[in-house]
Amino acid sequence: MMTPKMSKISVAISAAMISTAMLSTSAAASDAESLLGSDPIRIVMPYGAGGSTDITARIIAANAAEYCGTRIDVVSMPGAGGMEGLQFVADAEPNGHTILMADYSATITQTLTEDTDWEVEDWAPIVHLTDWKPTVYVKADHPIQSIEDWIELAEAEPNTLIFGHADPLSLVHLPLVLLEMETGIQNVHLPTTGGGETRTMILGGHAHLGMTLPPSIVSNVEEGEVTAIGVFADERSDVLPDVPTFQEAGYDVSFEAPLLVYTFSSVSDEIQQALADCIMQGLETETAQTMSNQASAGLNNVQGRESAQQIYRETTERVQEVLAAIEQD
Amino acid sequence: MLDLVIEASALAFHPYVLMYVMLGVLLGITLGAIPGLSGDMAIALLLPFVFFLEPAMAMGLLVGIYKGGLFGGSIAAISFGVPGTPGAAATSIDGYQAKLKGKPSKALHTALYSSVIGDTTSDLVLIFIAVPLAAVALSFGPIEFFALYAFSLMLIAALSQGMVAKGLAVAAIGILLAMIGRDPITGSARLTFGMPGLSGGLSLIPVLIGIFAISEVVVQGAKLWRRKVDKLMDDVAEQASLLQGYDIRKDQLSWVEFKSTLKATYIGAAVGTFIGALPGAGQSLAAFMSYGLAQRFSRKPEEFGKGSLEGIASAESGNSATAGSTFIPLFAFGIPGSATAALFGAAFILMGMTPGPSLLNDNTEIIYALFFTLIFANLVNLVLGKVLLPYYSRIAMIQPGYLIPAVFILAIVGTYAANNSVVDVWVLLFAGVLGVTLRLLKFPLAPLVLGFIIGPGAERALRQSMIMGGGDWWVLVSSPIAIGFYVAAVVLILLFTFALRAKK
Repeated sequence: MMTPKMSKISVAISAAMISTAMLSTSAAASDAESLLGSDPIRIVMPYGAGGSTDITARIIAANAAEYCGTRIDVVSMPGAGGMEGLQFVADAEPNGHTILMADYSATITQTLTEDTDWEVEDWAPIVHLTDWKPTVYVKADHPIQSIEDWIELAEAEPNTLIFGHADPLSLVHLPLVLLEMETGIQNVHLPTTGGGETRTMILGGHAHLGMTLPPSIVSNVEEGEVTAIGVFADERSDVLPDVPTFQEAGYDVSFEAPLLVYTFSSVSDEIQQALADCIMQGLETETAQTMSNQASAGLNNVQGRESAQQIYRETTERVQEVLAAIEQD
Repeated sequence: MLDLVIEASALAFHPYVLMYVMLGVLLGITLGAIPGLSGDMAIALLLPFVFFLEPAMAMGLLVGIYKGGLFGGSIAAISFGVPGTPGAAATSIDGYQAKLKGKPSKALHTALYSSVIGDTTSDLVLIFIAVPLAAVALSFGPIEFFALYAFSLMLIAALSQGMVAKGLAVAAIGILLAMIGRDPITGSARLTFGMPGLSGGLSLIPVLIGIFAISEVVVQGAKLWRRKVDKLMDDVAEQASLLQGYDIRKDQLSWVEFKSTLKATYIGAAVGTFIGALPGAGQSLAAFMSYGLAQRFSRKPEEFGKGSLEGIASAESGNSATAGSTFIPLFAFGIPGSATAALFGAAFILMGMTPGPSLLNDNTEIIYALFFTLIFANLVNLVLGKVLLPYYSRIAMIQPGYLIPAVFILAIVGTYAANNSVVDVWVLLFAGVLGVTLRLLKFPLAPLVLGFIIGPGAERALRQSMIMGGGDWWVLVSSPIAIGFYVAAVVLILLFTFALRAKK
């Protein structure tokens, strides 16, 4: 069933593919369908296409449409450092047809540090998709091969080790700041354009250490090109089970990054619930789980509104603490 | 080995796969030709569906779209002066001039042939020498990248002969425009004058289309208007223009002309392949660098910028030659070197293949099949392009009265669609005003765009180098590769200066 209201030209291109390949909006009539109507739902993602968030959003779009009773489009809006995407969702009619998918950098860190039209509380998290575990890694032939090596060398020669990470204050930078506060070590912070550039710097020997998310370096670790030395999480990563957490090494620093789906808070409680339900139903299907496994997207323990709200509150407090501490420096 | 080749070709030349490749190329050419829409966009939309297709078919479709899109960008660049994709910006310099002289078919055919030659070269490099080239690419850190950017800026800023000072000046304006937005190192907003919409910086597409296309539309519109007014005043019959008398039979690319563009095509193929393998450098830089070098080595450098077929060939071949080599860092290390490579990386992941060093070992058959598909898609591109070009040439010669509003609407819709951003549309209009102003003051536009394209990369590389060197400027010449680029820049400039003097 294709609605005639194509919101974008580009959507029309995929229409033919969609109709042949899948999306037979079945008789799975649910609350979602009656509450949401037949207009398409847009998942706004404040990042460029092709990254981890994008893949996850597209897995949702491909699987949850059937349960939400309407087509789901993924819209990538990386403009203004992601702020344009948030603005778009905030300005949309509060009918649940424009929702946001983002990690905490966009909704919490940037909202706290920049002049925005909304507060952190204006974002209502409805689905808790997964937790990303920031991981520190080095080139396989580098003298540093463990958390202990790193701390020791950094203490002996402060401000000589070059540490590559994506944007300042992003989820692959804040854990480093926390660890430096905890231990007193000092590194040279080298911002990169993202995970890809960080990896080039490490493999090419331009930077000594880097931080990224586990799925993106699994292949390099298995081939023995890089060594992952530590994970900033409460538990080890599923895809890198041999890599210890910083807590195991005796440093009480853990900073997992929840990936959440949000509506703006003006959307009614019933619609929030209906959206949460149909997205979760879609992600429980076998197809969704297979896609998630292949992409290492970690969608095997998706949680609903309660968990999402709780983790959002906790993460907000953490970020506030770190930002306050940075301010004091 | 022979078994492998047979199995892989059975996969790659399955009728369905061939059909998907053709569908992809057709889709790619069409999307690439529409400003603002690109092959990348279609690839992103189709990502979830690759999961449901056989890997060989999915690859065929995506490869087809990608390659078609790379060539398609040149169609709008030549026909309307609107680069359909950022990579086609350099093509529009000479391509649009050639069209204005009534030679759209020659220009489009030159673009097609050079695009296919460049692309095929790059694919062969990917297939046969990916590993050593990947190792070279890795040795490019911030210090080496800054030298590369400085080299290309030197090369291009002096593009417009007799206007070196003006060229440098507009390149500086381009860099300044690129600095609007977030500081790459501290992340704080700068030069935004308190407007939150500018905090992410100006996007490439609206600046590009605004500077080239909107300003052109305004100039053409003004010309048309003045002609009408003249007619009203003097009642003089309008001269039969080139447009009314367009005869495609007189506008065929001859063998001699084709041969004359080959040197430029080879320069583009070499430069594009190399730049494509460097993570983060990009198609636009490849096209502009090829253009600059081809001009330096051309027998008729004075024709560049005035509709030179060599200019078209070098830019288009440089642009398309990034197609194969952009996969080198992805296959060798799992590093996506470009937006397209990132999307292909995502597609591999969804098909259960992890990009990176183990990709080839774990999926030998399918990757070899992909290699076949890459080459086959070039053939499809050539044939389809050949069939479609006569029609595109005629479209290019539509009367300006219809064309101007159409281009204007395309530019606005395309700009909005690229990032779903209203701010971008405003940027487009302002860039258009800037473009008109610069044209009136007789400034060249190409160096501005190049400055804008390499500005962010150059600044980031410079500041990253300074962080790594602890604030010591000598760090910039601490790498042999970097020193090589600086020396090459100086030598090229000296050679060119002497060559000019000798001519006088």
